[in-house]
Amino acid sequence: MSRLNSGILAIAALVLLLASLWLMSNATQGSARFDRLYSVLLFINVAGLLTLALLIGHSLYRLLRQMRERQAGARLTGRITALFVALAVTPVMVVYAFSFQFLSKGIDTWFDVRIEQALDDALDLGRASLDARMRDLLQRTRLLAADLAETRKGEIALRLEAERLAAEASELALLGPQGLVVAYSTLEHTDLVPDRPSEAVLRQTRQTGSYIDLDPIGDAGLHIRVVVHLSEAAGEDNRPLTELAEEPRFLQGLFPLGERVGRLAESVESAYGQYHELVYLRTPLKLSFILTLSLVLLLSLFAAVWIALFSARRLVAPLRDVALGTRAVAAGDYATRLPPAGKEEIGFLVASFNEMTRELEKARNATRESQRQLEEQRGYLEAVLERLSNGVLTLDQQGRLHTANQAAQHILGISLEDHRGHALSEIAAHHPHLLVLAERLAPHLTEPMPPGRDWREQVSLSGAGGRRILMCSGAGLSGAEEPPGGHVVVFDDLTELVEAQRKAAWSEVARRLAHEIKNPLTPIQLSAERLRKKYLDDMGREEGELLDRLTRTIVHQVESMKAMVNAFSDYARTPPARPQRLDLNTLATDVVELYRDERAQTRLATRLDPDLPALEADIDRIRQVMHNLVKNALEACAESADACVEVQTRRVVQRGRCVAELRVADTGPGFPANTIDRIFDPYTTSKSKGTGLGLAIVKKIVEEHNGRVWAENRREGGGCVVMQFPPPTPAAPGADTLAPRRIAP
Amino acid sequence: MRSWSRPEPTRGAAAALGLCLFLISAADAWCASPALDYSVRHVDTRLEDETWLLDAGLDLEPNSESREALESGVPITVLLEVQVTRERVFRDERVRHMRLRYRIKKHALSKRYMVTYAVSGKTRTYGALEDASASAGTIRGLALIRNADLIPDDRYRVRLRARLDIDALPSPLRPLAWLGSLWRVRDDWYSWILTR
Repeated sequence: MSRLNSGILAIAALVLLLASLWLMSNATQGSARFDRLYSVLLFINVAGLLTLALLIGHSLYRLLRQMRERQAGARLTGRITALFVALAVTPVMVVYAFSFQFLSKGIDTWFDVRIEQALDDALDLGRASLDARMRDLLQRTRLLAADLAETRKGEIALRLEAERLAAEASELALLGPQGLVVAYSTLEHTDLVPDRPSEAVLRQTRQTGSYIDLDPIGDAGLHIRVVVHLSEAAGEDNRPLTELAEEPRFLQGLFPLGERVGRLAESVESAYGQYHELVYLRTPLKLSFILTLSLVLLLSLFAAVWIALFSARRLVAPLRDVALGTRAVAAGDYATRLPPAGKEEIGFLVASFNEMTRELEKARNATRESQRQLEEQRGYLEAVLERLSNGVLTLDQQGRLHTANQAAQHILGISLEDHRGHALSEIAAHHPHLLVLAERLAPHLTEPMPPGRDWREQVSLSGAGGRRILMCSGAGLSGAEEPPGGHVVVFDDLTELVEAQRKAAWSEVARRLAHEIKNPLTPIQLSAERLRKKYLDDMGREEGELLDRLTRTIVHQVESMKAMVNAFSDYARTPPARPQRLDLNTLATDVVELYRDERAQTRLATRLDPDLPALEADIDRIRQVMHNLVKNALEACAESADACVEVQTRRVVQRGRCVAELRVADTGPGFPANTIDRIFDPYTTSKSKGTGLGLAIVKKIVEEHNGRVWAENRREGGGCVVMQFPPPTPAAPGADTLAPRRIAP
Repeated sequence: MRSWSRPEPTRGAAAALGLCLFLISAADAWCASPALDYSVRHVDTRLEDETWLLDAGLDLEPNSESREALESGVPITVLLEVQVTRERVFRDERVRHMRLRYRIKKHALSKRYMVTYAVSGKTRTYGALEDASASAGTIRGLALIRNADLIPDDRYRVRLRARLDIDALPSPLRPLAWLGSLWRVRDDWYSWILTR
């Protein structure tokens, strides 16, 4: 519709321009009707042509740009336009060339030397024929002036009227020295003032005594104007002068030529004037005609070019739409619909294209819906996996990591994002604590596992965070997934569960020991003391010494057993916690100072971090932990020369939160490699004396404070016990943080 | 036997070239004398019956092209323009603008120059072009503005100029007059303060 409107507008504009050109052509040919509009029409036409030229220029520029950019349909539009223009321009140019010649030569043929001469002769003849009359009128006027010179003032008006009628003059006037009217008589009684002569006429009359010439007087037509000097006319005729002629006065007479002579004179004048005007305007007239012709030519050319461009664009538009639509479909835009292009062949092509894209869009939408559902399922699965406490890994057929959930990274203690596509063995090369896992899982991952078959494996990992026990299970994946086939490995961190079970078992053992063993110890001790008391005095010296030594041994051993049972009792007992704000550095300094002895071989050192975060902890129990550890470390260094025990605190950032770390290190022999994993188990000790409960109690207290503890051997020699305490929880500071974790068995 | 003047073969081409050439040479020739030059002989403004009247005498000087056109029977129209403006800081306000047109034409038979005042249609004839020009350049008692229409403390300026009326030329001459230098129009003003 818009194309139709623009076409109608363009055609209307062209018609208006043509009408304007026609009017201008009329004006050029001298039509009085359009003469005043000539300037406006010329401006309108030039402005219209410039507008048309701009439109064409813009269209051509756009077409050339489209051709350079190899846009669809641009070259075809260009070819059709060129063809149309060639067809239109050739005949127009031929007509212009002939018209140009015709105008140039045709206007020249208007002019003829003989006509010009004849007109000049006619004009001279007219003047010559009037000369005799003019001389006669001059003589009559002089006589009249001589008569008037004798006339008294009072009779002048009547005399003028009579003389005017007698001489058939249209006007007779007596003028003063400055040309002012003294008296007059006129044929036209409506004229209040007579036609006064100009100053030049009066000047000539003063000089020569008379003036006579033809004078065109407005609408009245051609007249003969005669002016004579009154006194000179009277003097020539030897008339006596009255007082009227004493001053320089003039008599003016205006005589009409007569109807027939006047008409002939006007005719000669008009023809002569028009011809000479035409001669003068010959070159401008040619230029004017050529200008009009050129404007017509340019309008025709521009109109032809513009119509060619317009038509070519309209013809090619459906084809260009189809090409653009095809490109859009190739780029994946199946919603493309082309505007209807009529009922011809191109229209059928457009309709088929639209049908095709409609079907493609339906198919694409169905595919997208399926993809969306798949994505939803995938998202659901990922959400479930992310929230699982179990670690889940998927690996391809070659055992390379494909995906891992958050729990897997947490349990393994590393970020697996950077290890996608790596085999477990490659990952273990960067993280040695996973070597055992990689080795244990390798047999299950090297060969394709048939879907439906699974395996289970318990793996114990030793690392910086202590020993971790993982229960791994795996199965083969079906081939429909991308990548096809592969393995899924699910593992659970059983460390805390096993620890809890072990701790519960040991607590039960300790409780039973305390209950079952402690009760008979007191009677045994009392019995031994009674035996000694009752029989020592009655025995001989040697027997008495034997009894004394034996009963003393029994009492000492019972005391030892009581101490051991008390230790077990302490281990089993869980007193209520009394949390308070605790500065670990201060506590460490206090404890170390208790053990500092100048004479001792073992040196005590502290390395404390001033930025250590404060804790919410039971100070007595933490003090007990430090006593145990420092005491253990000193005992470990007892046989070493130049030994050193170092207590170190530091601030460690783990997963975005600050953790207080306490390290008690010594330069002793270190922990035996075969028991380092179980060093915190009850009754595990490397010392000849000891209950084996010290480190177990340490571990218990640390875990009651939600902390972690592990033992490690230092590279430079010696052992080190490391503890990490989390900062107090802002939401629930205090007792909750110290509540013992209850882990389901 | 009729004999026609033979068309000059080069005239057509010259005419076509002329159209282009005068466009190109227009800028160079722009400094030529105007078609109608003028100089102000005298001006006088006077207050009569509470109306300001203007008397002025201008010496009009048609250039050679204008004279040739007149001698060839082409009439020319002298346009006298009179303005009364009120002085302002940036641009003066035009209070009155009057145009007086005088058509001058040569009568071939009488060899006299006819001066016709466009408003009244009254014609006077003169034997010399100078006399006709002097007549066309004379203003007597032209009512400028009523004294009551003037703001008391403001300054007013009277402007006067004479030029050829291009739009009154025959239509074939007008494109040449617009673009060529021979028919250049002088458009500067002669102005003076209206002394009260």
